[in-house]
Amino acid sequence: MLCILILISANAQGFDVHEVLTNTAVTPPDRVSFREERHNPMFKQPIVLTGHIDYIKKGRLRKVIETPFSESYLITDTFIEISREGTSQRLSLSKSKPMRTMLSGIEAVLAGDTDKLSSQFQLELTGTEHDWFLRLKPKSNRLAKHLTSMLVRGNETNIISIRIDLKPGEWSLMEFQGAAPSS
Amino acid sequence: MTGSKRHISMAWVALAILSLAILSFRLQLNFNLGVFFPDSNTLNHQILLEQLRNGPGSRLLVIGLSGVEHDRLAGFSDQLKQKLATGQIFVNVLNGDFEIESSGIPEPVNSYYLLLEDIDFSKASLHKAIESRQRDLAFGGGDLLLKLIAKDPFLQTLSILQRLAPANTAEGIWFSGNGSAVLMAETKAVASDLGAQALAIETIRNAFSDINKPDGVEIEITGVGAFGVELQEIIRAEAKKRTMLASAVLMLILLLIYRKPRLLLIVSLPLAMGFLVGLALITLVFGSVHGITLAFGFTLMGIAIDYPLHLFSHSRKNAPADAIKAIWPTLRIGALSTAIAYVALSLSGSQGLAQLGLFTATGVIVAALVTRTWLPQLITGPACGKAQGLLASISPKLVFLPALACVVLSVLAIQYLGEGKIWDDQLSSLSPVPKQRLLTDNTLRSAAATADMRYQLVLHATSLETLLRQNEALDTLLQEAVNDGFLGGWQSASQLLPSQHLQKRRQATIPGSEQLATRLNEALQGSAFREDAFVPFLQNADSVKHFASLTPEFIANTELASWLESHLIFVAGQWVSLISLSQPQPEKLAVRIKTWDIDVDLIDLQQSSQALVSNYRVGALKTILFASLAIIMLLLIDQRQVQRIAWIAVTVVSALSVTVATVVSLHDGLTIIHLVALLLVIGLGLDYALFLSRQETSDGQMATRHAVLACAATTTATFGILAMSSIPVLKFLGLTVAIGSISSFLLAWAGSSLYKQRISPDAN
Repeated sequence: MLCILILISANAQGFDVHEVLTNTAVTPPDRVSFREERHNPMFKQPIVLTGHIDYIKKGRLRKVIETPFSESYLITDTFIEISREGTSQRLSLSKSKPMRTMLSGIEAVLAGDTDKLSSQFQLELTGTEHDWFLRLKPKSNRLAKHLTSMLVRGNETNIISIRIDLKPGEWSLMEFQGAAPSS
Repeated sequence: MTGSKRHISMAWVALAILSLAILSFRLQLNFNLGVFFPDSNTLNHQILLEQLRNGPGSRLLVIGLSGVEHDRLAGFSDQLKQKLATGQIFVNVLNGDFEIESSGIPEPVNSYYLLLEDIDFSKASLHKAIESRQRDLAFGGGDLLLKLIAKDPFLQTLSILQRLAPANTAEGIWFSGNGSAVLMAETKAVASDLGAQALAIETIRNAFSDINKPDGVEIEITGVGAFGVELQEIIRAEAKKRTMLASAVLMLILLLIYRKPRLLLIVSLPLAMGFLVGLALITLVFGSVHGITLAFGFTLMGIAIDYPLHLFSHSRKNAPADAIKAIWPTLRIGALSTAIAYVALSLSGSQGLAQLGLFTATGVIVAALVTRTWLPQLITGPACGKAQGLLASISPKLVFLPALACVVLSVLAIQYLGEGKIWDDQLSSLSPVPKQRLLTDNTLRSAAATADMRYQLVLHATSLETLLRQNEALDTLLQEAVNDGFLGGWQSASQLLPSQHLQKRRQATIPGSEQLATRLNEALQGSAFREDAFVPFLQNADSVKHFASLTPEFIANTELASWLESHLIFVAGQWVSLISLSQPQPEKLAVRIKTWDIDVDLIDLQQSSQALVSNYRVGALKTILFASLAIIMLLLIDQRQVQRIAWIAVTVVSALSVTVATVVSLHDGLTIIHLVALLLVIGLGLDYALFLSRQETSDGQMATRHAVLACAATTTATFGILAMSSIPVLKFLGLTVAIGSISSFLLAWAGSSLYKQRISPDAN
């Protein structure tokens, strides 16, 4: 175990979280396409969603699902507005701490906001600066009961994917299109 | 001490021991303020009283967090909620943030949700529900949501729980107008169980101190239970402080007047005996004694301290045995008159006041008898009395003018200063809780949009099934009122306990297990869900279809028992559904209700409470009026001096007028508390007027004036100390009696000392 830690540490030498996230930061307004797989124990097969994320401005994202159904989520610091079949429903984000933390974590990753990330998660950076992995583990024990971890993968210039592991056995992988991993 | 004297002493000691024995074995104290609410015959008033005792909100402790910025308070609110939710003391802890992750699904909603809503089990409906849940899970789930969806693909459970929540949980964490984050903790114990409420408050404070937070974050706890606990502590401390201070002042005055320390011990004997025997009697009659009966009763019995003072003053130049013989007719009639006034109190309409009346009337009579029979043996007075019979007897010339003038001036003062309004019929005015605390409670509660505290709909029927069916019909009409904007929402018993008829109908609409499984399988085609994903739903539907109907008895053993208790009560042989409203527009709603074919009452609790207090007060006044007539008749029969009795009556009425005018100008109006205090003023007025209008020798008159001065000084000083209390009830009582005592004394003194009339050389 100690060897692994030393290896990880050695691999991560020469670059840090702030540096990689600054390099991959997206400045709003911007748009990125995604493909997302959602797995959970009730599903016989994962749901595969495609669509795009509009990073409208700081603190405001819109996730638009285009297939297999049409739906969008306007995500702000305080609420999510779900537009489904021509109707909108606004939900307070205070209703779900795991959701709020996950969403604010995703926005912080896109924005390259290391301070915000480190205030809510323990950060562990591994890999190389060409293909790095940033594991985010919630600091709050209560949150950790629901959210195991988030794993962000990236290269010098782009975020490649974000994997979110929930308990028990529910996970999702969101891959950003046009950001192929450099090998 | 002669044999007969020894027997008298032994008899009193034996009575004291007997009383103590009764108290040791039988005395049970209770602190349920409800016994002091007036008994009522009308259903609406009974409902009102039930609401005050156990209504929605009475078990809620309201918590306010303040001191730092909004976002951080939201975090502390959440942490406090999590800490409190794990304990066994609270049924429910809410902060506006509704999430199943922490609250779980309480019974009977968890098992019976399929009977609490109309559900469409068709294939199309199932397909739509499954599609929606797939989309929900496409956004994210979590363990509890997955389990919930597996059991309830319609997610009816959540909408039922949100509807039953005691406050609005749709808008996120509650913040009051003054910026405090607000939590509502519903205790399992009723509000009147002060021990359990104190434990709940301690639990909240401990949980708050366990939270890692910066300096400056403050907590405030309000609610019926919190006020009860605070009052118990404050009243105990305040009563102790005031009693010690008043006792010290009383002793000092007596020492200055009589200069005999021994008398300080003797003076308390009639009061102590009256207290013991009175308490033993009400213990035997009522079973349990209210704390307020003890506190107020002891206060009202304060008149009994006057009896030994009359004896002491008249014993300065006479043998105590002679002195008591001389004053006994006056003292006896004074004690009897006061006892009649107190007995009237016991007939005025509540168990608490009945206790208070019987306790004080017994105490006063016993104190008078102790003064008559026992005290003369204990006082070391002159060896023998002077030959009083040889001296000329003087009767005071009684003048009516000062008293009559005061009555007129008082009436004018009431008209001018009190704007003609004498009575304060607000039930809240009887509340001993400081107004600032009530205001804070109101501010915090408003953040949570709890049910409207003033307006309520009431349905009643002799059978529960009839009531619930009416309630269900009413629910439909109320939904129309919501759609039309007359109402924000409502909560009624039928939302948790549908009628048997409706439950059976809903059970009948649940398809058989095979049919439901087939429909479900068809609905699942093309979805991402596994075929066995909804097995818990199928199992639950099959069970519920064969469940025995939900009953109040079943709910009584569940987490939502208190919810049902606050919406469904059984009073006066009727089942009553109390429908709480949120954001009602009462005038529009009242008009709409008239068009409905259901016998439902829109109750204005404020108006109802005012009418209740007003009826109570009118009843009490009538009883006191009859008691006054009885006292006058008693005086006429006993004394047979029409002019003197008229003077006494005018003097007492005048003292009462002055007291009422002064109190009305200082307070907003008279409450029942003032009325109780005025009874003591009647007792004091009678005592002073009876003694100062006595026909006696000049030495006797000197002694009487000495005694009355001592009585007035001690009463005014001790109640004056009570009047300085911060507790409204004690302040009202103290101020009224102090003003009454001094005005009774001044009027009786002025009306009897202007002229003196020689009557006969040997009058006794």
